[in-house]
Amino acid sequence: MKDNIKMVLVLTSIALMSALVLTGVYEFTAPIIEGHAQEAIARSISEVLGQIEDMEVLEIEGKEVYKAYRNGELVAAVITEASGYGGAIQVMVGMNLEEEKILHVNVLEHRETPGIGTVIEEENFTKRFAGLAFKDSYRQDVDIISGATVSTRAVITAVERAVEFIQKHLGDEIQLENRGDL
Amino acid sequence: MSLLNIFKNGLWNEHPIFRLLLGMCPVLAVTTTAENGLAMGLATTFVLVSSEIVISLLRNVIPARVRIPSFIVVIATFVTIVDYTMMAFAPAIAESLSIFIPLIVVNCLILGRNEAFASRNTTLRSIMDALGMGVGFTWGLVILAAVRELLGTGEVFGFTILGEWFPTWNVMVLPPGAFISLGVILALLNQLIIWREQRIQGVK
Repeated sequence: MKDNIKMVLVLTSIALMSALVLTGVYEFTAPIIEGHAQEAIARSISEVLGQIEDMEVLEIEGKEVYKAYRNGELVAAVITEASGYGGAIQVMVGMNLEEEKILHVNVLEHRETPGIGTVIEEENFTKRFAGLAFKDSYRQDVDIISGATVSTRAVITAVERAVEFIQKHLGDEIQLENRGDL
Repeated sequence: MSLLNIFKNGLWNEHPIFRLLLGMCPVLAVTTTAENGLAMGLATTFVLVSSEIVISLLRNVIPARVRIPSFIVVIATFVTIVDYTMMAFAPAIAESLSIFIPLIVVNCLILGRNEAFASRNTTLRSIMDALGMGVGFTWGLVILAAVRELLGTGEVFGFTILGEWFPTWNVMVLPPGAFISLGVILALLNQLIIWREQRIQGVK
């Protein structure tokens, strides 16, 4: 009986100590880790949208949409994902809403096979989206890379989702603004 | 065994990778670049040293029947500390090691050394054991990772060693390359040991 109580006491105290230490470490590192994540997103936004002004962050259906102006034109970026060969691939797509064109595509996170699926990160692939119109069919207009069919097709799907999402939720806004100009 | 011998034990005689074949999960999974291998080795060494210190201090307090859960809680605590610290201060390395940092918890090398050594020895001896095993594990990871990175990409630690003329063997940085390189290295080391033993016998 005495042994049993000792067992419980020792294990409980070890677990308590562990919880205390980890709380401290978490409190200390969490803001720094969060800062890195924000920085990464900010860097990616400036990559896909370029020089922008008056950026607004909108919450739509649980996604963050980054809306801003570039040379007076309305632009927006959104993060979407699609499954690739090794799991979800996260893609940030920057779009010019007035010309209804894609500006730039950035692959944020993926777990594709090194040396094979990783071509999706390269400029040589992502530049294939630049300048395509919303109404284009990306499946036809963007060449996949042989050997990395699944990975490249996943990026195409993610871009399609981003364009659909933006058209669905921000489409009205462009029309309103255009009417204002008339 | 003297303190120095305890330390040297992990470097070669009971080398965790090449002689005991412990902790094969990180050995095979993260050795794609020498930098990853080094980072994983250092992270594991930190966890090994800290947990062996705590376990050896608590060795007379922890009842035998709950020793494994106690060891695991202590190890998991240090692994989580390493995980958060790396995410905060070395985000690039944390990203490339991703899931394998939390998985240090289940590295049997760490539980094995705590059970076999730290729970039966003084703190000073445990520190020497942990340092020896940690340094041994680290150099093993770096050697294996350097071989894979060199053959797979022509670079080591990001510096180009083999020029354009070398047709890089992409398979070496993929999972099969881990098994191939580890197998070849183990075979070579075993042959070296056999030769050395034969020479010693020949002298006698």
